[in-house]
This record gives sequence, C-alpha cells and structure tokens, in this order.
Amino acid sequence: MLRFILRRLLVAVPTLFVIITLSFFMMRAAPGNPYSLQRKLPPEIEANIKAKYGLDKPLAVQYGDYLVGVMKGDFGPSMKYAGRQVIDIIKDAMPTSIKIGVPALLLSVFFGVLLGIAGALYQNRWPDYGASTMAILGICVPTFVMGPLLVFIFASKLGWLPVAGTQSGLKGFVLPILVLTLPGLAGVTRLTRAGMIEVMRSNFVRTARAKGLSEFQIVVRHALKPALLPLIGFFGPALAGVVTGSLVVEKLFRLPGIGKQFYTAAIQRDYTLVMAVLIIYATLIIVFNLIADLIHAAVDPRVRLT
Amino acid sequence: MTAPSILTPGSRRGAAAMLRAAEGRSLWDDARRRLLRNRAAVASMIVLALIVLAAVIGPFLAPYRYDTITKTDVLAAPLVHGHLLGADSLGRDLLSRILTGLRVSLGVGVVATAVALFIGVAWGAIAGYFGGLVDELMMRVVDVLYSLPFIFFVIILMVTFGRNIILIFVAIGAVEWLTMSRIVRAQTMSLKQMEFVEAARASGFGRLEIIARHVVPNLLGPIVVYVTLTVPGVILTEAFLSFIGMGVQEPMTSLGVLINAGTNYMELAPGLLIFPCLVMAVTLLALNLIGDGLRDALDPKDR
Amino acid sequence: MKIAAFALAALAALTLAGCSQKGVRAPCPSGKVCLEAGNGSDPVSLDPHKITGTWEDRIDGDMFIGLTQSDIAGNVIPGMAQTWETSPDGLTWTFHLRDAKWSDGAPVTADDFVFSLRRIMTPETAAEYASLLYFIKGAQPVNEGKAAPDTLGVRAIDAHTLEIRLEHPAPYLLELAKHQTMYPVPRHVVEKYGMKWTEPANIVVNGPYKVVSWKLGDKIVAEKNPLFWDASQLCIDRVTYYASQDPVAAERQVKRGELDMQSSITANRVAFLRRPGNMPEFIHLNTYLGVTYLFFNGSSPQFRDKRVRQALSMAIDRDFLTKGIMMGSGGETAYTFVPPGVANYSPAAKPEWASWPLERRQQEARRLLAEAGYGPDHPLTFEVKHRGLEASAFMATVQSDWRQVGVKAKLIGSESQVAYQAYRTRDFDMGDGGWIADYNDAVSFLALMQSQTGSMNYGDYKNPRYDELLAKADNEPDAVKRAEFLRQAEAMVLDDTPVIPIYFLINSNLVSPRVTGFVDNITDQHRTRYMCFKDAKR
Repeated sequence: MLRFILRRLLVAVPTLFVIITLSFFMMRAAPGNPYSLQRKLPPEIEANIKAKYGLDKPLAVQYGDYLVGVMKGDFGPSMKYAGRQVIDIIKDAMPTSIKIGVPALLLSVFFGVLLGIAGALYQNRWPDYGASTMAILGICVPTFVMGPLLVFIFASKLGWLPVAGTQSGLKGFVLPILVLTLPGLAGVTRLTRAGMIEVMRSNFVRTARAKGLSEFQIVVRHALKPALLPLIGFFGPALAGVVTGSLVVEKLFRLPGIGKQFYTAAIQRDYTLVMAVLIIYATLIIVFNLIADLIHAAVDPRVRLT
Repeated sequence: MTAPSILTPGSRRGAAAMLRAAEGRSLWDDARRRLLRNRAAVASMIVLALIVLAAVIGPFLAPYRYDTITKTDVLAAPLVHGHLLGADSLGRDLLSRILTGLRVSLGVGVVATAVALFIGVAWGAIAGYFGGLVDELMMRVVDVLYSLPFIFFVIILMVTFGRNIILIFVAIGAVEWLTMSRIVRAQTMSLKQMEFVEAARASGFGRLEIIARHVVPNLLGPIVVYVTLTVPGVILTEAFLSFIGMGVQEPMTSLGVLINAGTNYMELAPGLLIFPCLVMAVTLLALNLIGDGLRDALDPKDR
Repeated sequence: MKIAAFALAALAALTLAGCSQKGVRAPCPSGKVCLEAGNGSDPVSLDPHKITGTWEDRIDGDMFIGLTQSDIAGNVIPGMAQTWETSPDGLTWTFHLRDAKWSDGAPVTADDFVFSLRRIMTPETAAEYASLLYFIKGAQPVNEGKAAPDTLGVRAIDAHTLEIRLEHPAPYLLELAKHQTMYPVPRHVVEKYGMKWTEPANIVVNGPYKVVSWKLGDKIVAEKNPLFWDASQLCIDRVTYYASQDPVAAERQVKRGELDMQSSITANRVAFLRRPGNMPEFIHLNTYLGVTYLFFNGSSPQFRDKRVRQALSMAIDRDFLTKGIMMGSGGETAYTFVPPGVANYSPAAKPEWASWPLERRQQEARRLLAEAGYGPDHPLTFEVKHRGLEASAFMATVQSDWRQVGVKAKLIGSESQVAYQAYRTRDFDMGDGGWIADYNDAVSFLALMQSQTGSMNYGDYKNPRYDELLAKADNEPDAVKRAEFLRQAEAMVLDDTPVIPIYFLINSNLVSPRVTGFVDNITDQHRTRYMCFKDAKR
C-alpha cells in the first residue's frame, strides 16, 4: 500500500515536469505578448517591461528560473495585472470554482445513483425510460446549450433567478450548479444502472432472494456496494469534466472562477497565470486519481494495488 | 469527453464476450441477431445512415452553397425564398450550412477517433503483449498524459499554432487514445495466454506479426464499442472549442459554430439555434444508442 | 461538509426563489444611491500610467481629474486647472490650478502634476501610452532613457501654477489634458507605497469616487470621495463596475435590473432589443472615434498597382455590412478614414465612386482589375489575415463581394493577439484592423499611415508628400489652417488607397431609462459624477 502511494507520487514528479515544460515552451511560442495590442511600444519601454519580468533573459534561463520558483511554490507575478501575484489571483478565484464544481459533483452523484437504481430495478418500465431519457439528455445537450436555455426559462421568462453574476449571493449559483450537474448526472446514471443490473443477476443476490429478503433489503444491504464500485473510477474524469464545464459555466454566468481566469489569461498571454492554473489542475487530477484508486482498493477485494 | 468514463466498465464486459467470440463464429452471429432485435439500436443505425448520407451528398443537392450570401435574405424565416430552414445573419441558407457543418463535425469525429484508435490499439497491444519494462514505460507515459488538463492544453495549442482544423483533429485524437490503449492492453494481456496465440508463437511467428494478425483482430469487439462512443465525445469537444471561439474558420462551419452563432439570435430567429441543436442531439443520440446496443449485443450476460 | 450544506442551500434557494422576485440586485445600504455598471472587463491596474483601455479609464476617470476634464457630453471643460494661457507661438502653456485636496486631505499642487508627468515618462514606469505625450518638450529623450526626467519641459511656477512647454504647437493638448496619461497621481502616496499605491487600502484620489474593493473577475466598488471639491453635487454614493465580459448575459442583466448599464451591446442583437416591448429605450448608439479598415502589405507585389487597391475597395458593399448585417447598429459606412464629428475637423471628400450603385462599382472594379492584368483566366488571389472573433462575419461578406468581381481571397482568422503579431512582422498579404483614436483629433487617425510610425503602419505606407503635410500640420498654430493640411493628407491617402476604410465604429451602451445624466457622445466618456436616478431621493 505504502509502496503503491510512493510509486504513484514518484510518477507524479515527471508528469508535472512534462506539463511544466510543455506549457512553458508552448506559451512562449504563442504569437503575441502580454502587453498592448494596438500600440507599438518604444523599444526602450518594451525592454524595460521585459527586464521587469525577466523576459529579457535567454529562454533556457527563464525556464530554469521558473522551475526553481515552482519548486519553492512561487508562481511569480501576473504579467497582465500589475503588482499581483499569480498565486493570489488563483486563491481568489478558486473558491468560486469550488462552490459550483463540488455541489454539482455531489448532486450529480446523489441523483444519478437514485435514477440509476430506479432504472435498473424497473428495467424497461417507465422509471427506466425516465432515467435513460435524463441520461441521454445530459450527454446530447451540451452545457453551452443547456445554459442559455435555462437562463431563458428561469431568469428571463419566469424571473425566479438572477441572469448572471454574484451580486445576489446564493441565488446566483443555482443555475450554474444545475447546468454543471447535468452531464455528470448522465454519466452516473448510466454507470449505476449498468452496475446494478449486473449485480442483481448475480448469484449472491439470487441467494439473498431465496432467503426471503425483501428487494429493498437486498438493494441496500447487498447490491448497492458492488454496483457502485465502477463509480469510483468515474471521479477522476468527472473532476476533469467539472473543470471543463466550469469554463463554459463561468463564462455564461459571469462568475469569477478559475476557468474564466484561465481563458482570459491564455488570450491575453498572461504566461505565469496560465501555467500556474495548468500545474495546479494537473496536481489536483493526479491526487484525485490516486485517492480514487486507494478507495477502490479499500472497498473492492478484487483490486490489488501494484 | 464524458465518453471514456461511460464506456470503461461496459467495454470490459464487451471484451469478455469477445474472448468467447474468438472461440467460434456463431457467437458473432448471436451478437448480430441480438443487435438486430434491439429496436432502438436498429432505428439509430438507420437514422445514422441517413445522417451520414446527408452529410456526404447533402451539400451537393442543397439549393445553395454554404457560403453563398443572399443579401436580401438576412435572417429569413424558414420556408422563405426557398430556404427550407431559413437563413443566417449573413443571408446564407441554414440547411446548406447545417449539412456542411454536419460534414465537418462528423469528419472531425471520425478522423480524431481514427487517430485515437490507431495510436491506442498499437500502444496498448504492444505494451500488453511485450509486458515487463516496455509495458511499464509505455503505461507511465499514458499516466502522465492522463493528468493533463486536456481542454486547457487544447486552448494553448490553438493559441500557439492558430486555429487550424487539422490541429483540432490531431489534438483531440491525441488525447482520446489514452483510454483505448488501457482497454486494449488489458485484453491483450489475457489474450496472450490463449491457446491460439501460444500456437502461433510455437510456429515461429514474430511478436509484432502475432500482435497484428492474432491479437488485434480479436480486440474488434471492445474497439467497435469504443469507437461508437468516442465519436460523439469528439463531436462535443469540437463544439465546445467552437463555442469558446476556437473552432473552424469562417465561412466554413461546424455544428458547434452554428450553435454558438445561434445563441446570439435565440429570440430573433430561434431556428438558427434550434435546428443545429436538433441535428447535433439526434446525431449524438444515434451514436450513443448504437454504442449501447453493440455493447449489449456483444455481452450475452446482459440479456 | 460545508460544501454539502452549500449544495443543499443552493437547492433550497432554487425552490424558494419561486416565491420572491426581488433580491437580484446587489444590496445597497439604505438611504444611499448605488449604481451597478457593467464595464466589460477587468482593468489591468488602477494606476493611470499603466492602463490603456477605455474600460480602465471608466474607473480611473471617476477617480482622477486632470487639468481639464469631460463634461456630461465628453467635451473639454476646466478640471484641476480653472484657467490657462498660451504663448503666441503656441509652445508654452500656463495652467492655473484650483484649490483642491487629495482624498487624504493633502492639497493637490502643481508639483503633483510635474511629478506625474515625469513619472509617466520615466522608462522604469514602463507606461505603454507614454508616447502620446511626446509633444511635450524633451519627452521622447526622457522616455527613451537618453535624458534625465527633470529635463522634461514641465515645471511648477508655484503651488498653483503649472507650465508646460511643447515641441510643436499641439491644439489637442487640452484634449489630452483630460486623458488618463495626464491625470495627476499623489506624489506623497506613490513615494510611500511604490507599486502598491493603487491597492484599495492605499489609493488616494482627487476625483469624485475612490475604489474601496476589487474582486478580480467580478467587480470593483468605488464610493463617494467626501473631500472632492464638488462632492455636494454628487447623486450616486456608490458605483460598482462589473467585469461583464459576456455582453449577452449583461444585456439580460440590464433588462432584469441587475445592472443599470452595460458598456457595449453585441451589434447583431440590437435589432432584437429594438423591438417594441423589449428594451428599445435602453439603447444608446453614437459614432465613435474609431474605424475598421483593411490594409495592404506594401511589399506584396500584386498590391503595388494602385488600380488593384482601388478595385478591391470599390467592390465592397459597405451598406450591406452596416445596414444588412449589423442592422444599422454596428457601425457607419466609411469611405473616409477619419470619422465625422472629430473635433476641429471635417473629413476629406468621399471618393467619387462612393455614391455609385453597387453594379456600377463592380463593373468599374472588374475593369480596373482587367487593366492591371487580372481576369477569369488569371484571377487575383491572396490571403487575408483577420481578427477572428471581431471580424469573422464581416470578412465573410467582403470575401463574397470580391468573389463577385472575380477575386479569390482566402480568409485566415485568428484571435487578435495572433493577428496583430502577424501584422507587426508583416506576415500577411492583407490584414484587417480596428483603430480607436486615443484622443479626439484627426492626427490620431492619420498618423497611422505616416512613415515614421513604424511597426503600426502595418502596410509600410511611405509617401514623402503625405509625411510633409502631417509635419506642416504639426507646426501650424492656427486650427483652421492645420485642419486644411490634414484634410489634404487624408485626401491623398484616400486616392492612393493603402488602406480600405470599411466602417466607423459605434459606441453602444445599454442604459436603464431610470438613469439620468447619461449623454451619448463621440468620446464614449460617461462620468458617474453626472449620473443619477429619476426616482432617487436626494
């Protein structure tokens, strides 16, 4: 077990190294610079700005400096927002992304499992069709269509919720969370339904039935756990999905989260901010995958960590 | 992008079926019969065939070219001036644009999936068959790539190299192969122990030849399932990129570009949003149902 | 756990939301008047010497007042300077400052202005817009690090008298005196905090509002500065500038009353918004100090022939662009380079063909192209690089117009950064650009084609007679004669066609009819200090 964790962490180091290297050189290769679009700067001014951010040094030296900085946890100053540290910008934006991402994930798991079980137990009857429709909708209607649609209905037409923004507190988060929940909900529903159907046909469930246990008892006591095992593997990609989704949702609902900052930063060539977001997300994905594997091993006797 | 997560457990089962299938042709016939009994899947196949046909020959039959601007038809309503579905904000025929967009979206889907398929199968089969250090190294590479925040990387790619449809293909394909390689590797490792592979080895075939002639053909089941579920994932990714303004170039179009443009005219000309959305939803639906059907058909345990 | 609670609360809010329709606006302290303004984007900084964009000046312009300032309609009126004189040669200006205080109680003196102007010119400040002030005596050498900052032609005669000497007469000085580059910054605060002087906790201002908080990606809040000389006249107590990047979302927010205004409208939505019962009374459109234009790469052989350039300009159906696609809301058709309504100027005459019907123009374009050696067997073929998001739609129609006269243009759109990089390195046949003038004067447009402009003269247009006319205008103290030189220069460019003007930009604002004191104008400056609400209790 310890060996497994150590090994995975050991893999994480080259992974992050590759990510840093790739993003560093790709970002620098991108045409454009973090400064003014229209106005050509006098060469002296441009030189001064470059010197300030160390952009005047050879690329290899910049890369070395950056690596050393990252190892110390220093992501450097933002190249676009004068006098701000990248890490502060991320700290500022992270809570917003978490506030929409995590509830969306939890809601999608909770309702997805419910729908999935309903679908499996009432296979080919209306609860199943309902659940399948939901799942198909979540997969076939992308967030960027669902978003404007829900805004149109719940904000513009019915007037129940704000259109966008954080100014009205909790209410402003309802639609973004909802939009972000749907794709995850679809995935969880399908996984749960498939897992549940398989388990309900297995021998031990038949045995339990023979013992005269009620269907409810069977589901809760015996079937649920094995049926939900595949879900653990779902969390890694789901996290990535939340990240991707947050980009759209934060743009649509004008929420000051990481996704929006990343997009703006990539367009504006705020090198340091772009890279910091990449590195932090990659780290998160690595950690979450590791946790998912550990949990998987802990609950499923068939899985051995190697 | 949700596709891999949905498919993993199912295709594992599909693969199990494949192993059995390898033992005799009749299982393939069974699978075909089961698939044809699945009404949703059959209907989806017919729909998909029509969609593909429309995408391939539609643009030739449509009364307008996708980029012909008719200045008097700006935002024309459906059925006005021979525009079956109306015209867009530049007076271009929406039907023609949807057909062209569909072609681009399907093209991106198919090509990117083919890229993923090729890399994934080769990578997974080699790693699984050779095992040992080779396997270890190759799978670590996969692990590394798995931790890339993919969509962010594609954005940086677009920013670095400009918007380029080839690049979209490659970028998406280069990521989607990861799951494929894992599935293939797992299957190969069990196939390796099978008698017919042993036999091939005994008769002196080289390792790569065995992989190509005996291992890969027997992976067909999971591959087919994977493909039908990857294509819609790729189409969605392309649409997402178009939505954030990094899709194909004007006047060329794709379903994502059309949907994005349509959201601006949601109230003024709802057709510009509704029709591309419908086409996209139906395409994705058909592909997903076929994928589900195939998976079920290849795995008799589910019935 | 907290997160789970949050999720539940959000769910509860969804069900409860049905009961109340209020609470979509940011809470405002009772008895106060709060303005919620969509500002489009985050500023890169609050330091007036670091900013470049109009959305940034919208905030800084509420905080700082220069020697002159904008009135309710963007015109120049006295600001910190109550009066001023000019020497007969137009080279020395003397400004007499009013008694005023910084928001921390310190007096605003002429010395603050001297400090500010030296600061923006100092190379270490790395001010991107410093070059706008090169007309000040000795500015360029200081900015290039070749001279000490104290050699700048600016001095404080006494605490309330400021003298500025110029390199050449510049009648637009008064326009620039209200520009962000000439705002005063508080010397005692800048010297104390350095880079951190603009943080909400430290910032000190001489204008009506002062920023108290900034959440990146979300909003900036500014409150009334009680020490502002005219504070008793202010109606708005608190103004919040939102980073409302998605104009369609912002538009819906304005309609709902979540925002009171938004600084832009998506052009293709105006027709919808104009519908009766929607929000026609919210729409504010006005000519802006900007032009969208195409330019030829001066070293591309196929564009050496003037006939080719003229033919391409002629063949573009600008009316369809502005009236058909943008539905009269995105711009005004441009046949000249300087927009109408620019101060002290009336644009040069349009080319003769501008009034012809499209068919005749197409015929003429075909004829010119044929003369230049192009035809069906040998079509003119080239690539156009353009800014992807801004220009995709209109470039598609331009491409289609050219196809009508047998020209094959391939479009290559990329995001603005990439496009401008290609322009700067001359990696294009033809390019598309948008130019927004920095100050209200024709020179701000015409200088783009001056050979000394260098990299921003994307087509590398070089015409000694044109340069000479602009130089003459620079040295001409008489405004009328100066305008005539500029007009001759513009006419020369229009005939030579190194650039193809397509349409003039329009500034568009969505403003709630409740808001008063919002006057449309060419500078698109709308200071919060003039605004109020119809129903506000004061």
